[in-house]
Amino acid sequence: MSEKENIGNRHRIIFQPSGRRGYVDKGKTIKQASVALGVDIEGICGEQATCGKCKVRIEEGYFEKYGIQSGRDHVSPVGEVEKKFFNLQQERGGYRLACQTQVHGDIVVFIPEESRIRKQVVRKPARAMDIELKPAVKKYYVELVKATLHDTLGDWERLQDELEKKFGLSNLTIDYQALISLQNVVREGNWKVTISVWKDKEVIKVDAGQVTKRCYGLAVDVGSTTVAGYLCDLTDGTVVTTASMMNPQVIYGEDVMSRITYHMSNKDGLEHMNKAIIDGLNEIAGEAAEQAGIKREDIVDMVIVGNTCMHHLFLNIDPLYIGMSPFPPAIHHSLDLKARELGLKVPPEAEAADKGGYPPCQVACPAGVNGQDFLYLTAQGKFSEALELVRRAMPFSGVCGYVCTYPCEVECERGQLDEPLSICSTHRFLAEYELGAGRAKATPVVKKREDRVAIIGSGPAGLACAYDLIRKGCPVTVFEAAAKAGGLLRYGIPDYRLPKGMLDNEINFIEELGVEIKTSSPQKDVKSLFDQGYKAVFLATGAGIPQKMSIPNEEASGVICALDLLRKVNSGENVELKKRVAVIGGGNAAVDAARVAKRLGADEVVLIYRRSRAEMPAIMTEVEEAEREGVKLHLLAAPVKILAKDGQVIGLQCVRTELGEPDDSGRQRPIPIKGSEFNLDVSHVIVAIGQVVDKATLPAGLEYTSQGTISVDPETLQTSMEGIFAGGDVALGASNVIKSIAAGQQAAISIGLHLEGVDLKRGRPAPLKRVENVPKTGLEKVARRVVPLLELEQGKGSAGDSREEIAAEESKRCLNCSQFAETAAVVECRDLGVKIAPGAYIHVLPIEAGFVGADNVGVLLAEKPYEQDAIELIIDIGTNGELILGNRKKLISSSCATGPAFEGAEIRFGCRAAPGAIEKIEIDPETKEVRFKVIERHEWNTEVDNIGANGICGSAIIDVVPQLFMAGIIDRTGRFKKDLQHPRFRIDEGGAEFVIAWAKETSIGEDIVVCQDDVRNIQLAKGAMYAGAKLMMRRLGVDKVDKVILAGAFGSYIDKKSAAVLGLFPSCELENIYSVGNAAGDGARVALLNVDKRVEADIMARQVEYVELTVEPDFDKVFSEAMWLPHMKDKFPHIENLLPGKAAK
Amino acid sequence: MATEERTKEILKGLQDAVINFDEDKVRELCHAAINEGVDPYVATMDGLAAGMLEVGEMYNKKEYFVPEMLMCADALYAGLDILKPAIVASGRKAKVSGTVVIGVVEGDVHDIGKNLIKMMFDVAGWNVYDLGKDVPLEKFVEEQLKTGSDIVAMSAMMTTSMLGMPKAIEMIRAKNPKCRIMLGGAPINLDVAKKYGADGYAESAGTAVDEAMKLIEMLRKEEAAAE
Repeated sequence: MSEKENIGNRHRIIFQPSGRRGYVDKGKTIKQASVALGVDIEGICGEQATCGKCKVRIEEGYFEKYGIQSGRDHVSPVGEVEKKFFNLQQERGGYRLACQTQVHGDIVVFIPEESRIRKQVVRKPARAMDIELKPAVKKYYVELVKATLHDTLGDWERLQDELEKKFGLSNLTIDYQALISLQNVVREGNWKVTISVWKDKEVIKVDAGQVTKRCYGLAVDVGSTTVAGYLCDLTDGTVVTTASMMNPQVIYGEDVMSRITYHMSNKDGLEHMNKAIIDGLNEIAGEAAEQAGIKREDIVDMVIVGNTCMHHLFLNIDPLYIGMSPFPPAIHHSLDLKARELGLKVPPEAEAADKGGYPPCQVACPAGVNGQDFLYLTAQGKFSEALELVRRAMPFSGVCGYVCTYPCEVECERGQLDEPLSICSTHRFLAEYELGAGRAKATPVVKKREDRVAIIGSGPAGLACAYDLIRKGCPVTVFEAAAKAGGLLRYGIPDYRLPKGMLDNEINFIEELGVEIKTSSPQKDVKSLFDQGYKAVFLATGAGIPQKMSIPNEEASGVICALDLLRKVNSGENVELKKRVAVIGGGNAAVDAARVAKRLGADEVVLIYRRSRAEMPAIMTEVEEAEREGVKLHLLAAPVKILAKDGQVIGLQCVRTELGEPDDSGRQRPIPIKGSEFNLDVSHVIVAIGQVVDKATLPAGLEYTSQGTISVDPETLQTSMEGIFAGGDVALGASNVIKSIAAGQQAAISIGLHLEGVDLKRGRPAPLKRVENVPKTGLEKVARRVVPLLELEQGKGSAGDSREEIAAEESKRCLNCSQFAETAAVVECRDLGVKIAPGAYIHVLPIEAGFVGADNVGVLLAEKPYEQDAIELIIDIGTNGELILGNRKKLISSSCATGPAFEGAEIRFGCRAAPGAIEKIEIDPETKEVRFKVIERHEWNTEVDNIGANGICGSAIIDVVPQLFMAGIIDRTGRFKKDLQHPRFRIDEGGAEFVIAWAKETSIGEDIVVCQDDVRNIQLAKGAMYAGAKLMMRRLGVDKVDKVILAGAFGSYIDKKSAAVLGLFPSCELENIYSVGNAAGDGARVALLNVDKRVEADIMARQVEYVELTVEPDFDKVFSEAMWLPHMKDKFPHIENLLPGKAAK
Repeated sequence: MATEERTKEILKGLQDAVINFDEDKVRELCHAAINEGVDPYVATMDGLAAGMLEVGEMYNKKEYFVPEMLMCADALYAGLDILKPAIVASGRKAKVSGTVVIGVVEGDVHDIGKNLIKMMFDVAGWNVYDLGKDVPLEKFVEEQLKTGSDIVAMSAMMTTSMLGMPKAIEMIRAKNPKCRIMLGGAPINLDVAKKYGADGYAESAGTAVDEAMKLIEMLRKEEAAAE
């Protein structure tokens, strides 16, 4: 490395974007240096400074990657001759003529596109695709009534009226820039104009005359290395032209990491890179418009995809945090921005949470179930996928479908229009659907952690906690005192309200994931659990002792506690209730007990409640059902005394009440009315006024609240004892199922943080922010439909729509609220400066995770793996390799640090795809002679002289290692066989190397070789890819993929046989390997042409589960095994015939 | 007691078994060494460790790569599991070559390289305090002070995370100017190491220990000169 230092009068020079580097003697010109290093710069005047074609830019700043400080004072000063070729901006920007500029120090030189002799071949052609046309921008032609002295209505209002009258477009707004142009355009067109309307909401452009046909959009894929733009006609969906270029940010670093580093070590780094890409986009827009013969202002819509880093740099968002573990992006949600303005700058201290806003149903649900997303899938008839989504939040889709108090529906935005969605009955339906169709056994979760957790109590809180912990790979044991798991769900809720089959199915699912449930195992001694090696305990034992009424004769025979009654009935014990029964209380237990009493044969059941109907905590539909069944309500009455004879209940004395001031609970306090006592003739009294915690069953040393519940931190659920958490009724007091589930979830978060030793409060996810301003104009009212209960339907016979149809129809009413999410806080506004139609928007697709960006969402949209049955592995090959695995049931994604090897960097003669680059290599196994092809020549090197190769590009880099392997030149560990005797093979001080192109076949005057380090770098890259795929397969629980899709800049040029022999991915039939090219760009086009797909992108991006691979416990082993060719251990039945015999090693 | 010849045979066998990543053979020979009375310390140092040093050499010569080296490491550790208890039982105190605190700097979770270097320190008879990956910078300072280590070795695999290194170096120097610091990892080279103010640079797992030895020798000389 020491030779890298300045040796006397030599300086380092790095040319960008090619990345070619070397040393140059002090005083030589940049042009001379470029010739010496084989870099081509235009120039036709013989270095006389008369043609001005050799413009280059001297970069300023410290370049961490190369370890050099470049500056404009490292070259000779600008001469007068040079100056005339530059405008002021260029001069200030460091532009120079290469032929006139002498090197006086280390420099980084950027050669702009126009000064390059050989243009980069951007191999990202558009693929023919069938996309349903539904663009965001539509054009409308209107003829206005000319303003007169009698009709002086403003131009805009005039236009608004006409648009409403003719096209029914109401509540339109107009973009400021469009407004400014309005008056002149209207008159220029003699009151005939064409209006461009964005999403039927906003007028973004006004043109004179009838030009509805002239409507264009630009879809752009911003890759780390190349930027490709597809200009589409929005009236018919065709790709009019393609424009592409090197990403001008390349000078700041070849890969995303080095760009983030440039930002970190240079004060204006972000600004430089942001400006570079905006300039680049303008160049693309300009070039595309020129090729198509239109004005750039005719581009009225734009969609951008890019990896997370490109996304942030384009939006001028600080990329620092995506460059460091744990790599969180600033925002996940898609964005709609004005092309011209914006300047979104997310403050760096902003937490890494979505700022977009969540649907109100999800925000209202204590357990965080995203109603919108599962309704979206239900609407498409994807019931099992929808259920999978509910399960992502919590395990009790069916249980909650039956017994939840559905706070989600109260908040549903649709309720403000007509009626809220029937979210509750829909997820009940999903669970019933699964029960009916049968469920495949759940795949057990790999237990990644060693610290075991004990949960005491298997009610909703305990099981929800266990469910979340096991999914994090944490071993969990649930101890239950009763004979069966479920707690109050099993013993406290009557069968007619929650069928046991449903409960069993959902508990089984949790057990199948790997949760150990020990029934008939009461646990009092928590300390002994810690002694047994449990590292944390969650107490979810509920409230087991009935609250006393404290009135005379409460001990009399015939007084029974509601939960006792329900437990007995649920356990199948015989209970006799005859004659008249009084039930005291207004909660669900009271109503359940009353209805059960009725079912057990009581002649008359009276429910006595001390407040009015409005204050009853029970679910109102349940109360109505009870009344329908004959239960009588005695409201505004309270018991005073039980009348007993010989220790047997014979009646109940009550007093009438009236409502006074509100109490602590906010409800009006019932006040007895003096002298209003009355007697009821009853034989049984069922008490259902609440339960209290049984302290005797809990560990000594806990602190309690004045209500007798365990005292916990309301946020973390931490008790007064280290490592012990409590939630559900034991800590909340009597609550409900969904709140208990939420408590279990919070406990799981706390326990996870506790085991990691992280602060319990700091590490918690931020609360979800509700989306604001969901528009409802122009929507028709549609009646709400509740999916009927399974048994009811069977009883009545199916009249009308099936349950499936009702669920799907009902789900279609969902407004998909989160699509209206506000974007991140705009802190500082400035001109974004993308020059298309001044009023146009740019839509930026959402991000999945720190290293799975909007480009990957583009791939999703283009490939639609979420509609496939086959298990697909989609590999997006680039500087940062991204993987998607799965099918319609579940998709997971990940990224692997392949490094830029496949893009040609870090390979001795690697280069990017440009004319002269070797793009295909074949080695004869017998003679070990090499055949190759270069870009833009049809012949092979063996067929013509002067083929003029200048490097090896991506597709050939993937060819070369398997070719060397199959020809027996390297062994399966990747090592060159030392004993090989062949003119192309040599070992010098740099190690072993093999000649691909002799000097006479090149344009650079030396042999192009592949050396041992090159092979090693390719092994690292391919090993990372393979290991990623393998770990994801394990995570998904599949041992084989049905289909492999190769996407990426040069995806369509990859030889799939080479990729298979190299071992880029696990074994797959060759005919099921597909190359699709730039799927990210295709996805951008899909989103450009169909706004519905933008909504779909947001929803799908949320559904794909991101997996971090490097934290898998055996990542090192999986990775290192995958570096061999094609793999150290795995079998490749499909390509066995291609692999060299056993003699290879 | 094994004859001198037999001892040599076992030691050579152990070296070869490590080099050929033959775990079974390593185990067999370790048991043989113990049963036949070969000093377990000698078997460790002149057998297993010597083999691993050879592996490091092959890595430098690019004959072996990461997967082979990891498998050699598995073979080595399989042998150590058998020999270590025997060394402890013999009551023999191992000669400690030096003490090193090692870890991957914060923001970075790539630790294969660090683990290989850690192992090379192990076989060279160093006391190694491994802080793991994603290590907060102040943790290096604390651990160095706590253990009084001769060397702190930091690794980074990303250009972003390596920017934490100069900070860490400054913090360590502020507390203990005598401690020697070396850097390693893909984005690091000699220039970067120098610029960041480190004392040494480990180009690969094979050269790290030699580099560390050099640093220690320099340190000892300076100390001797100062006295």
